[in-house]
Amino acid sequence: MSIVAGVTSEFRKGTDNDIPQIALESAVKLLKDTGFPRNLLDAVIVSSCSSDQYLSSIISEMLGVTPKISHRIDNLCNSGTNAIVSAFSYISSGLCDSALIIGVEKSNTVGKVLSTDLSRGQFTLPIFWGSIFKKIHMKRYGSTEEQICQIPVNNYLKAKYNKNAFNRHKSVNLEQVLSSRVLVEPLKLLECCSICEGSSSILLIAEEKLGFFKSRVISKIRNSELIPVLIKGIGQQTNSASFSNTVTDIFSKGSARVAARQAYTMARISPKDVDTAEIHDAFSILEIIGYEDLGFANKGEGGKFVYQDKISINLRGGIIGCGHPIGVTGIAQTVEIFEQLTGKKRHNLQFKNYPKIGLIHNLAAAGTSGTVLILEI
Amino acid sequence: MQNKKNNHQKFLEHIKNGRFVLPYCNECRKTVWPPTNNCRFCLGNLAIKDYKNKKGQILEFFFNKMNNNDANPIMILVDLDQIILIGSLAEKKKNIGNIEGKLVRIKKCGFIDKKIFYEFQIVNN
Repeated sequence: MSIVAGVTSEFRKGTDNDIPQIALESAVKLLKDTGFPRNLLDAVIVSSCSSDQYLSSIISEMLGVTPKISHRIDNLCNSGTNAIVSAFSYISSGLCDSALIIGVEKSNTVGKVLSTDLSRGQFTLPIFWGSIFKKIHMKRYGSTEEQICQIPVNNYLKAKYNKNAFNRHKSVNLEQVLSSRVLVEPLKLLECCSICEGSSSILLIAEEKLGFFKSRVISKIRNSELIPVLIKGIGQQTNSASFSNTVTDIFSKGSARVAARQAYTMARISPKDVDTAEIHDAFSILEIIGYEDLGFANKGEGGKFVYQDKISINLRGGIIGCGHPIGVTGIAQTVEIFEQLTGKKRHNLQFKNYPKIGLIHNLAAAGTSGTVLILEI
Repeated sequence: MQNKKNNHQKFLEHIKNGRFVLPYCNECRKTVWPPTNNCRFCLGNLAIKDYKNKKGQILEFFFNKMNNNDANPIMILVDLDQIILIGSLAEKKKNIGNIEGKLVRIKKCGFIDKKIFYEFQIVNN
């Protein structure tokens, strides 16, 4: 199974564009840039938490595509990678040879709050569980404010080099993060992501059909050749929907920890083989926990891992730097790793010139579910 | 014909009336969360049990400064018979000291701005 193209739109807030229009921004660019024939698209899968109905069919129609399979995936912040896994399954089963996956979101999405989780009481916003995770991690493992607040410093810096990032014009230093307004102790304003709008699209094809598709592609864009990046490993785990049924085990049996093990086994690699990773940093502490769940750092030592220089992490700026269009994030993370592995994107801050293996870590709703993808060129 | 209310609806109705009840499995003797009609552990049938006087324990507490307002309630993470809830503390003072591990009981519950709230008070052993 190969990813052969990916495009992400600008992330921003407050335009009048509706969901289908935003979706087309990345999807049309992908189809135009690659010259991929629309009549050869077998599936169109849309990832979004918007309340718009029948989205995938509407977007397919607007793209002039009549796919065999077309539907929407909604799994909160984890929707994007879920959509990729669904497309992977359709292609692996032989039901499809190609799939266009489109993530799209507006900043007023209903996916911002999981109102059905009764265990959160009046504290429905994600920031409340974010602060719980941070306080518990600091107390249990001794991770420090300086270590955790270094995450936004790193990710804002990287976002400056990403023309699509919501926070590309903003710089913050450690002092500013440490002294930013405390929202819920101990979590501060600059440790939190912003919900924004945007879209990201990715094209998956059956590996054995690469030659066929290449022979049908006519592109006027230079360097638009379909370069395949393999999806070598997939891990997915759903532990619960309620915060109540996940919080006590979050540092030992978190969904991403389980998903990472599955993905490494499937890809037959270990954490030390990973060159570059996109980690779900909706709050600074989630990146620290991510290091541990992914096996980059031992349990409780994620704080110290912030200063490492072996694995390039969140080079696009992470969710804190880029913003978080909820149903888009998993796809934008995957597009970023695809671009790094194919050399379509080179970063000033990357540790290896030619990364070979990249990883995507995508969570939903306080880590109640998580996905890990491993890509290889 | 009137439909029989399910446990989720019953839970919300009791909350509306200030009562905290939960489904309890008579077969495997576990409290079930979230409220459903069948036990999520053994799929057995459930009965409703009143938990308002049940004591829970504070796992963590947090000063909520979202609205820059002194009236913001102190947020607490409570283990109530292995159901973990995020609630508020009836005590509004900021100099409460370390209340981690203290026993609490639900003082009030209900709806505020269409959201459920659980307000706890510290109780003696």
